[in-house]
Amino acid sequence: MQQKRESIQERRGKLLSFYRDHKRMPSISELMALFGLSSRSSAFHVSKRFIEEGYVEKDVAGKLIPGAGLFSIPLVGHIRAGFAAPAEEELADTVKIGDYLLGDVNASYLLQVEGDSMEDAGIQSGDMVVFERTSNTKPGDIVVALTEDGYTLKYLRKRGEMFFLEAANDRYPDIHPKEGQIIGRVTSTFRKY
Amino acid sequence: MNTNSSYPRAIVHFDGDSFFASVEQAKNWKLRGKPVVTGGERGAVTSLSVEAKKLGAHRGMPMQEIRRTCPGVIVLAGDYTAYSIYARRMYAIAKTFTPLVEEYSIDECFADITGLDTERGMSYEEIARSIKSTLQEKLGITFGVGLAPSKTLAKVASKREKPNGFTVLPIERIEEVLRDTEIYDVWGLGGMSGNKLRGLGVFSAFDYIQKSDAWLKEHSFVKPQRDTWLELQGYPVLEVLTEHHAKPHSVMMTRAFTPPSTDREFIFSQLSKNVEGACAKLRRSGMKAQALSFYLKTQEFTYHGVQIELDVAVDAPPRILSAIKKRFDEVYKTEIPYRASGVTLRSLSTIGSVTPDLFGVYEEEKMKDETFRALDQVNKKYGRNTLYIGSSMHALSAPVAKYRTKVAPGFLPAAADGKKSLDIPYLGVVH
Repeated sequence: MQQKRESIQERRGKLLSFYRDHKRMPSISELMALFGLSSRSSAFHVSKRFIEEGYVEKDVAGKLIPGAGLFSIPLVGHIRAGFAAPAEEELADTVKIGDYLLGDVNASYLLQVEGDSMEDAGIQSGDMVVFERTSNTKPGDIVVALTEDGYTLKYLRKRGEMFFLEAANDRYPDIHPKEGQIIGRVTSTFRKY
Repeated sequence: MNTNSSYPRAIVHFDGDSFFASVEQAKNWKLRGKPVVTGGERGAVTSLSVEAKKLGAHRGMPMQEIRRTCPGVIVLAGDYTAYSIYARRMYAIAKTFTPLVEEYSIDECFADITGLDTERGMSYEEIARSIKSTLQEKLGITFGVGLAPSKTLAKVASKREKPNGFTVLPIERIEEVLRDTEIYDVWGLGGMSGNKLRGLGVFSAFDYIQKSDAWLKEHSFVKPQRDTWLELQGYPVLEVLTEHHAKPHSVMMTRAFTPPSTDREFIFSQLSKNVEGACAKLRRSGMKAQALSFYLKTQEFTYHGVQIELDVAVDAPPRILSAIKKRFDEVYKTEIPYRASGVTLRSLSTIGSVTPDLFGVYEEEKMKDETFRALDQVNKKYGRNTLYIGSSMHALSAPVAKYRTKVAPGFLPAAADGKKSLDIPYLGVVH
């Protein structure tokens, strides 16, 4: 079993308590013991890391001496004077408009509306429709069905045990679809000017 | 540890049925149920829909003959952007089941689902079927699927039933299935080695696995054929290569031009375009090439080519082009009409591991890096071929034969500049 590697902060903590106990910095072999390292080279590597972090410095003789960083409170990131740079962490919670408009990216397709059959649902001729290919549709969804005359966009309704398609416009009759004609569900619509 | 004796390893192979033609039918509902053939742009069949196959059309048939003998056949130019979008979706959907997916080709992938049975409380067969039906539901095209203990057997299985097939090939069924699998039809034995095996009286895959290791040695069948021999017996030798370790060994770019040409400048320009494209691919994968070959294909389909070694690994066209220029006339003959050109870049290494040479050529190349990175950025932003090198101009300004069917009425001008298309397939008009 491999042990979880200590973080640099954890090691800094151990280094600090060593210093408080002994009033001096550890030697390479003491570093090995302190962090449970199996070789001198890895201890040497750790000491280099400490120097980079500013926890320790080397004196003229090459011995480790405490650096300013050893005693300071660790900062999360760096703060510059003036305005902070945009933080990656903050931006990680944002989503692109494309992804927002899509459902399942790998099952999404585009159609363009022609006609006024869904007018009362606010979907006008010329609008773009994003739909997801899926068999998972339920009454109330706006679905896409493929008929002999092409694609049609309608509400999926259920009366008793019967499913049918209903336009959002009184001038259009209900359609009773055959099995397998409904190919997906609308996830969003948009209009580009 | 897995203890499933039918599947010591569980590999699934997915093969899109008539992939290009199927994508065309999925994109345009009016093509459903109709005989569709793709490859119009190159005058050679790249894919045939089930309906076209029923009319007797097959691969290798000249386009003219297909048009003549198959009434009502619809010949389309390939839409490689769309095929790539569908391919990427295929990989992505398979990866929602397991990260161990090999993006084998534009219409095929492998998935290693070993151990998923206990994890999901489903049998391997159920999992493979579930991936198949998810792919078909989300993409709107069908797949041939094979489940077996090795990649080679999974490919045998996915081929067995077409279209919309599903074949399981557990250890117990290997003999039965391999008895009626032609040696040619085995992955990796289609070419020379298949011929050689037939010459030695090995006609079926079953005949092959009856042979001993000593027999293989005796007839000098070594590494790749021996791997195939083991895989056919149900020993998984070939790994499912995920993106992580599937670094390309070579990058190839070819261009066919119609009508065939004898124009020296034009043909060199085609090669220049090949090199440009291949280098762009290299830069995208962060690699450099130190060897290359280029070839010209005549109207009689014979190839003439030359191999070149470079003194330093590069990912930009200038050095490659000047190397080709020096040796172009070894290949090019004035009186022969050529119909295609191609470039293969080889000896690839990742950028970090390139050894600089002693004479400063590497440093010189490094200067060009920035130029071509800027070029990549521009082309990424404004569309392919917005910026290109001078020697490619001739190839790009040549009239391109238009084969595309008319765009559905009401088609939206995809992006503002009209050059790039959306990465979501547009399926037409809805009423």
